[in-house]
Amino acid sequence: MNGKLLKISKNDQPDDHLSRQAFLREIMDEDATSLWQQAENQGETWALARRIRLQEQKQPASAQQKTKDVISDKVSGGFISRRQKLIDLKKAKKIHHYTALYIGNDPQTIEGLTSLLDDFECEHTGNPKQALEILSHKTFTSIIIEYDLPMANAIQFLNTFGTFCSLNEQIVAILVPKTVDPSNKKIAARLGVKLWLEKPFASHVLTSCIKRLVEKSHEP
Amino acid sequence: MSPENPSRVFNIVDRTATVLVIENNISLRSLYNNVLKSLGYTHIYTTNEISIALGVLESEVVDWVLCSPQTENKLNIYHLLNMCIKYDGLKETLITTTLSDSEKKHIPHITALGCFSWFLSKSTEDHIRSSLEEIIRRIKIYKCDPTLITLSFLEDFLRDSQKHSELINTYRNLMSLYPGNTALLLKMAESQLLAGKKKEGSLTLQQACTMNIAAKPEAQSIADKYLSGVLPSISSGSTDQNPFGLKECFICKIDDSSKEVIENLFTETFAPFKYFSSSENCLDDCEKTVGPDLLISGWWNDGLNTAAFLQRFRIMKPHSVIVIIAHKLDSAEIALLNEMNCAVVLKPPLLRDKFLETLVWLIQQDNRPLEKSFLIIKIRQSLESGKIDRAIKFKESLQSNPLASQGDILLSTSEILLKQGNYEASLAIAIDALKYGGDSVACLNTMGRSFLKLGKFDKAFQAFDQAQELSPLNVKRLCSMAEASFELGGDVSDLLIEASIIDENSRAVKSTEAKTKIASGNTNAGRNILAQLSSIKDIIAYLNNKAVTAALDRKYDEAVALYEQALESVPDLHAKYRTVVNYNLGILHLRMGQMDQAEKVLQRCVPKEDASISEKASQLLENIKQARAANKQLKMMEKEAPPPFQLNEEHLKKIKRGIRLAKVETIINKGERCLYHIFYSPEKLKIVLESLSYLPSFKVKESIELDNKKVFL
Repeated sequence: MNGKLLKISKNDQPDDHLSRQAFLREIMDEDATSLWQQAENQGETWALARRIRLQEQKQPASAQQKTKDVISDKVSGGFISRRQKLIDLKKAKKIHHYTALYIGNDPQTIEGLTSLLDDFECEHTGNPKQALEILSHKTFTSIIIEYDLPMANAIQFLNTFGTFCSLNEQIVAILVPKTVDPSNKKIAARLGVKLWLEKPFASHVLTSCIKRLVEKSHEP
Repeated sequence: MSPENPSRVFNIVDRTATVLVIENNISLRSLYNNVLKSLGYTHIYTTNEISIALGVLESEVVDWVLCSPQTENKLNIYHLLNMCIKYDGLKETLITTTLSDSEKKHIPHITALGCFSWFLSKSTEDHIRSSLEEIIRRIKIYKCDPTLITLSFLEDFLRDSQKHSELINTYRNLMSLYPGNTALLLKMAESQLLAGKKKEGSLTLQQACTMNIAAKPEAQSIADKYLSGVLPSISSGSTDQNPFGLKECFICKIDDSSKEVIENLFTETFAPFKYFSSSENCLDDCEKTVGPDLLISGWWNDGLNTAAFLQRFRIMKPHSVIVIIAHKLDSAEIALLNEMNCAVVLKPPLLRDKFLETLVWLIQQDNRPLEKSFLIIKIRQSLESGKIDRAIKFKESLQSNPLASQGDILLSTSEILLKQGNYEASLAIAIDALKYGGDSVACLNTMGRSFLKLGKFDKAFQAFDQAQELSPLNVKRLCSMAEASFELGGDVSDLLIEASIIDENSRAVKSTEAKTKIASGNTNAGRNILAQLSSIKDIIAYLNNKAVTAALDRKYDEAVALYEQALESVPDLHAKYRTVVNYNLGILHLRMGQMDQAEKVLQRCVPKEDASISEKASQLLENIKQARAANKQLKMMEKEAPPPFQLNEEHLKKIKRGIRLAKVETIINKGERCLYHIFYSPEKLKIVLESLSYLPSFKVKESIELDNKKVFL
């Protein structure tokens, strides 16, 4: 028997053997946390894919990418998660393919928008000037603006933006701290703002409001 | 070399074969014995008739039988050949028939039944010796391939008797087993020319030269002999024969350069193909035709994407070979291709020679699988079409494949058990398969399906969900997950949306949506979906099973409600199912002891909708009538619910101890027993028909060695 045959002999550990054990333990209602951890440490594809899924539910995109890169090195053609695959398919089919621009610098909102709005291609900038530049050559389905921006507030920004172009069908949302005078809400509405959301709010509140507004705007 | 165990032929060459001589004539019998001994054979049994020979065959592993036709006896050569086809213990035994001049008429018939070779029996030692030496010589020439060895004997016979057409048909049938084999093509060309079919013969010569340029000198010499030296040009003429034995090939949306290579090759070799620039059109054609036996497809993500296309294609054509041509595929796409039993992925640009080589290899493996991956594909394809015995046979080949892991074998066993309806055993083995390295997605899928059948919906969901993480494009699995989730009282919409993203108009998604809508009482929505489907058989079966399960759990109201919801949902288009549902509801009322309600419901069964069910309903109505006349209550037996499945190590161990894979019949595929299934005798002799109608019983005797002696148990 040559080396090649020995390598694939029946006694070899299968790929992902720790992950397999961990899963079987889970299915028997036993705790498998440490086995999953060991499997991740061994760089097992299955365990890392599971890690990505957990990260997709609650961790920053940067951490997800790191794990994806580790698996992609091992998988020919590159690893893709179930969630990412669906996003890609939707994009390819142009199903509910909406774009959003977030103007602001709140890390929680950025994370919430990138991880929860599957249907959205989201861009962000913290600089109102840069935002104007982006908006001058690209149309977004929705624009989400922090009330407090450097150099201007959201209403001032929208006033400036309005002198260049109209909001048309775009959904504009303003995220406001509690300290802002509620009378500004009327001014914002006149400027075409469809959502006035007071902070703090759970990340899914923003996304579900935006989705609802977008879907509503597409209804005949 | 034959893919089936070729050791019997080897044993003949190296003289280690156990030989059994069956000959009435005592002097001829002893002559055979002497000659065989002089040739170096040491394990020889002789007997005068087949009925006695069966005793030897049941107790010894006999490699080679030399047998006269014995047509005057109760058991003759046809009985013996038929037994070799029907019984596992004899399927590798090679039969050589010894014939007198007047018995030559039997040659086509014994060949069609898998006879290995034959020779004319003359009572001289020299003649017998030279006949046996000729068999050994041909075994060496044809490298121990029994099919080609038998073919060489058949060629002699058919050419002598000027039966060229029969020989041409045999060559054609052999092309899928020996795709692109130039020697066979040249022989076929010569037979066609001898039969006066000049056009076909010259095209076959062209095909041989296209397949292998080295065949040109021999093709030229045949052309010199029959075509006045003119070897026609490649593009001339048309023929329905091709060197791959392909019936039809569909090519769908591939890159231009690959398309050119494949189209040129297929055009030159007269392989039939159709190109589709739309996957929808390709599926439409699949629905209308038997073919294709080969699908070559590109990979795209827009419109009806390849993931959806392949899944729909597979439902229609579970046996076609799938080849994908794609630059780069991600892990999800590769995993789906694996699940769809895709044979190979080729990277463009295609090179003609390389593609030709791959094509030949693919067709060979599809017809006579030797490689692990093809054996696994064949097991799944057999199960898909309900051919469990065939699957078991391929699993046996997988077991003897040196590259198959314990996990692979366990997984196949588990898939077979699942198909046999032995869900507990299937689950227990699938768990072991996962442990020992079987393909993880397939193991998880089998576990999920077994859990689903065992009513363990949470576990089923867990296994499916994990499989979906590893292979996220499977629509059918998402539907199963939705069904499991529904049983658990969960939401199904997210899962069905996920499935729709992969395939917007999936029938499976619509079916699952209908099942869950109807079962939850939304009959209007259910009816609307059912009206869009061409068949609702699976949905009715699902609702019936659900009602039966509810009834077994003594939840009669729930069961009745399910049937009533089903009735409300059946649209006029599928009215025939109303009788089926009414009948089942009637039975349920009888089990509940509600004779009047049963009568009312059974009266709704009408022959116009389903004649056979309606007849059964009439019988039950008659029974109700009689019971009422006798002042009795007609009540059907209540069924007992099986005990709930326990998922624990101890129970799984117990299940595994009792597992047996029961095979009903022996299966011999084309090319596994000489020319059986390849050569067909044009007319049937009366004796053949009579002999084949009776199959003598046969059972291999188990034995053990005791003090160097064989003791039969």
